Amino acid sequence: MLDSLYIAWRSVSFNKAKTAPLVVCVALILALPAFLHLLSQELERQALSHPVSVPATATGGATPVVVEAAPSGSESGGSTRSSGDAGRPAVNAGGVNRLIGSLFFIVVAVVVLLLGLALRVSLLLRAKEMFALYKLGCPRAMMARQVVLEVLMVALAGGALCSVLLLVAHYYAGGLVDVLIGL
Amino acid sequence: MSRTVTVERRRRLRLDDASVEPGAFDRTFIRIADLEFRYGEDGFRLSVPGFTVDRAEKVAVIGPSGSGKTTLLNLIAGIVTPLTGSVSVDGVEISGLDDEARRRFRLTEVGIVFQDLGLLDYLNLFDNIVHAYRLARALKVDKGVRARAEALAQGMDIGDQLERFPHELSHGERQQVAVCRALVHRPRLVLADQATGCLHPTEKDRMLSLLFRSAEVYEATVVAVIHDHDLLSRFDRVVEMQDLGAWENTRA
Repeated sequence: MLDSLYIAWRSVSFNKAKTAPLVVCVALILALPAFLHLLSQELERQALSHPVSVPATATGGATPVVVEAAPSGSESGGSTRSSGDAGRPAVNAGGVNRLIGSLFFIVVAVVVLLLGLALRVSLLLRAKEMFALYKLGCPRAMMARQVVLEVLMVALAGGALCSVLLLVAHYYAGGLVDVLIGL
Repeated sequence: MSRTVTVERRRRLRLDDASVEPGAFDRTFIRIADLEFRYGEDGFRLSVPGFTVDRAEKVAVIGPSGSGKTTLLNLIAGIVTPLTGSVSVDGVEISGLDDEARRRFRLTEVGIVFQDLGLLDYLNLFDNIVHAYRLARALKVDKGVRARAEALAQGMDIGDQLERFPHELSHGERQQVAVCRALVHRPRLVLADQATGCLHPTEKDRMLSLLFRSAEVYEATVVAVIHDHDLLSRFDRVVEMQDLGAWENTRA
């Protein structure tokens, strides 16, 4: 096993240009749900820490805008409406969350597909190497174990990068939410 | 002696008694009989009515490009199997073994120098020499194996480059590494496919000397495809593909 680990490490570390995008993809896949959850929590925390109704003047108009803060995800709360928009449907926070959720799944699906593509291309690029090992007589199981170990190493590196990203995101979540709301 | 070796080898290959041919313990090491091979439905075809190589004999195979020299080596190594006929090595019908047994045979009994070398870019020269055998646990890389690999590399004059990577070497030097890999596990059959192709004449001589010296120490049989006609005199026998059988390249 140590020999296989050593060989896998040599392969992963030598092919940095191929390994780095794979590690980033894995880190993104792992970090994205947690990151969105973190932002959502921070948004909710900031909303709850403010008064229930905050009168404000919308830019470019004299009509006051009222923001009602409530826990996100609730059907009744979290809507934003202008006091002059009586009778028009309000923008629902639940709807926004569903939209974010849908976008998140699309992003994850695309990243997973790209990851699969990268793995496939990587295997195709290594087909010659695998054939050489076959011709020398390496058992199929050994070759498979080699690939699995390399994939595990990439996954572990992705997990580590994901942890770092989340730590940074956790530290700067408040500022990030302010920036996003400002946008 | 021969019988003891064969029984030991059969044990390593985990073969049953039925796979040993009658008369297996004679001096013939490789025996090809009534062989027909074809790549795909309409690809290259090779027919070899009969071909034998004696134990510890050094045979050079020559012939024009596309005449099936590499295919012949692949058939002997069990990398490909014939449509009909048989290929036997030391009394064991290789063409009748399943894939796993043929892999085991190659790993433990055969040293192969491929035409395209098959070195791995991400391993240094030492790791390339022992890689396949270490991966498959056919070779425990201890001090003895390390010393043997280093001695082989010294013999090729690349002993001080074992920490370098294949892409840092010339093609000739990579060929030398491939020969070291083929010899490091002390095979009883060495198959070399144009192993001297890109070497300087003095290096060709040195490589063949090392190959033959190792072969003699381990009583190994050598079958080499070769294009350097000035080296043919060093072999025990020269076989021309035209005399060996017939081939047909339908896509040519």
